[in-house]
Amino acid sequence: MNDNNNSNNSIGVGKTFSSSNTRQPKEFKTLLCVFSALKGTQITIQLRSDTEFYGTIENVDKHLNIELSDARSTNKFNQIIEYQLILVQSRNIRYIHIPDRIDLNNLLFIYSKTLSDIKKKNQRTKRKPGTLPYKADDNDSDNDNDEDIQKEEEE
Amino acid sequence: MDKKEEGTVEEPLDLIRLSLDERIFVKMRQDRELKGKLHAYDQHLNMILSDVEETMKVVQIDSDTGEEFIGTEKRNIKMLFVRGDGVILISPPLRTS
Repeated sequence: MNDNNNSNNSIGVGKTFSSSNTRQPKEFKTLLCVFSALKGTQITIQLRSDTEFYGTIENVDKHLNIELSDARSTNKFNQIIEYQLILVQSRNIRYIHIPDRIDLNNLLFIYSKTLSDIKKKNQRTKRKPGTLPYKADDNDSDNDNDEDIQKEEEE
Repeated sequence: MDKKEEGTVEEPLDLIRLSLDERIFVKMRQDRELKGKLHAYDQHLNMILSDVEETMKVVQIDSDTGEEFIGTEKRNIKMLFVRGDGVILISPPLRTS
């Protein structure tokens, strides 16, 4: 976002995410809000290649790219590799296993409320049939008056 | 959600909205199928499902004859986030109304 120009900032992902935190509604437009709340918890990510990553969420950005710390990957041949810090690119993600001790009810309630609020906001106000969107009569009469006055002045 | 809109289907995703909190069937890429209770979804078809049963088709080799055949593998997951780009179709539960 706004920190692209800032060359000093080496961890762009984190900055972007925290800046989007200030305006909550936008973040709650998609299910990404769940993962911002899951920061610091341990999850398992299954990739399309059947590799599974188990680690602690450090950061999530708006594309669902996920930064894991103390991660351990298990591929389909059961080979294990450990990483201190790893960024999982969002396109490769198939599933994310959420630990069941986490209560999502409150979060999903906020999510659905935000959605319905946005929907209400975007709803068109229904116009009564036969009425015009602006008061054409008033404007016309004003113009008529002006013209009358002009005519009077000319005479 | 608005009360008057609750039972109406205006766009395709409304069909999924009506399936919230019900067990749905999801067909995924690479011959995977999910059945689970739908908690939330978004416009990308990212979904949060609970009590998921995942069924996947795998090629197995018969130990006696050495022939290949297609078997199924199942596993259960308590709570699962599904990324939308892997979803092929979603089927709501059958309703008798």
